[in-house]
Amino acid sequence: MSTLKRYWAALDQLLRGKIDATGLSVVRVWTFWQIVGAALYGLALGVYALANHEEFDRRFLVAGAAKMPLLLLLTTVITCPSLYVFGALQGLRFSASQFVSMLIVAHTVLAAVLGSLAPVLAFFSVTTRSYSFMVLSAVATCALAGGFGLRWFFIALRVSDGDDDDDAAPSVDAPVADVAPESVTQAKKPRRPRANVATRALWKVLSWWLLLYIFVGAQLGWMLRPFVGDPTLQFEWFRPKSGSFIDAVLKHLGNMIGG
Amino acid sequence: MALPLGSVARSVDAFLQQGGRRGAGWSLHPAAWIGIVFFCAGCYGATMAAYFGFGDDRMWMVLFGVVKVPMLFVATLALAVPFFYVLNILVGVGDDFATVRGALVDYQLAVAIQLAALAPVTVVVNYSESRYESAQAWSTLMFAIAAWNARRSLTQTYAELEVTRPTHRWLRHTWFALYAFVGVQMAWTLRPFIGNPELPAQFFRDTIGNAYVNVGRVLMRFF
Repeated sequence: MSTLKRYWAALDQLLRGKIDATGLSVVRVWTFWQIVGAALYGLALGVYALANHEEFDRRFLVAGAAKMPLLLLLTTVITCPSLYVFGALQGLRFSASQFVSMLIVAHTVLAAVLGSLAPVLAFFSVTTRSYSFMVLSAVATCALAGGFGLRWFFIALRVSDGDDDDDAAPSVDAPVADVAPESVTQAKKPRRPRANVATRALWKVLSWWLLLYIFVGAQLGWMLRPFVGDPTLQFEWFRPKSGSFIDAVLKHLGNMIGG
Repeated sequence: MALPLGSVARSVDAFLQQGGRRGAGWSLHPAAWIGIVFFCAGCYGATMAAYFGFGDDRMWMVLFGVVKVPMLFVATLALAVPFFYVLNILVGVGDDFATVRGALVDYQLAVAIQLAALAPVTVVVNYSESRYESAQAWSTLMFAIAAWNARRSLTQTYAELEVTRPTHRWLRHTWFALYAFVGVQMAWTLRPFIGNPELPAQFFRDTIGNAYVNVGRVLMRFF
């Protein structure tokens, strides 16, 4: 089986709640798909600027494809230390690399959802003139994908915490950087997180960390903007510091409602 | 090579007899549904576009109609399926997706076949009505009726899936919402289907825009 097929199979298994990447480094595979999914989504957003600017400027596509994966990777890097420290203080016995692997799982799922939405977004990018509509669509789809990512994060965390009645647990419980094939082929079905089986410490940490994660994600997204190029402005890799994410969302909502 | 018309007719008949499902009676190649959708939806597209006859450049509108209505179905399906597939996997029912995919195709087929069956009625209405707005309203109504009736194709399959996995229930609703969301914008993008007689025949309007933004602006005028 070719490498790409094996990578594809590993992603498919992850989305099905199984971790089966025999002979592959799972972190490498998941990071690869994270980049691909997010880049596809970024490209779809970049298409809007291309379709609405007089001059063809391929930098909109390059910026979109580069900045979305960067957003995910930076969010992982920035939120992982706090997750590890909070978790350790509350008695969660995970190593930093295990937390990283859980976040990578979450972001891979998030990126897969974003990538699967890319055709729809690209279609709206080509056919829509309204900048506010595109910005709000991007925010809504990222929130939706983020919801799925977090759900997977909770599942990975709960399972790894041993809060599961099956003997076979996914390999996020094992050191991930050099996972042995045998330890990554155990599989189980995804299930809804159940509050009654989660430890109090786990949820205490998560509720605080979740707020922090959303804040960091939104703030990083704001820093790395524009993802959707404003048709009235020239290309720029990053916009100067001004305003806030919430202000911008409210402004675009106002534009949509007020016409 | 001659078209296996007898086989097509038998398969379509079996499809309809089974309430809009390609079951054992479907003797065609699994991918033949695309051809049937293109033919049936193309027939209706031509009928809609022929409202103002075939004179001058109106023949172009008819040809565009043959292409655009099938495109509306197939492109909407193609755009919406990737996310729906990932969604099915994420909620743990990805194993059923082959069945679900078949049901989605059945739905497209059912809508297209109904539209083809309604094409003669539309011809009569078109010839008995002289207002452009009436033709638009009639065809919109036909699409709505065909789409509503075709739900059975999907719900039959889903009813079986929902027995073992109740998650499929909200997935079915999600599909209709997603399909409608993309389909409305696709229809807006591909308009005109009939073609205002005061405007030249064209495949796309000069300005495409966003259906939801435009509808929202119209609605806001009332407040």
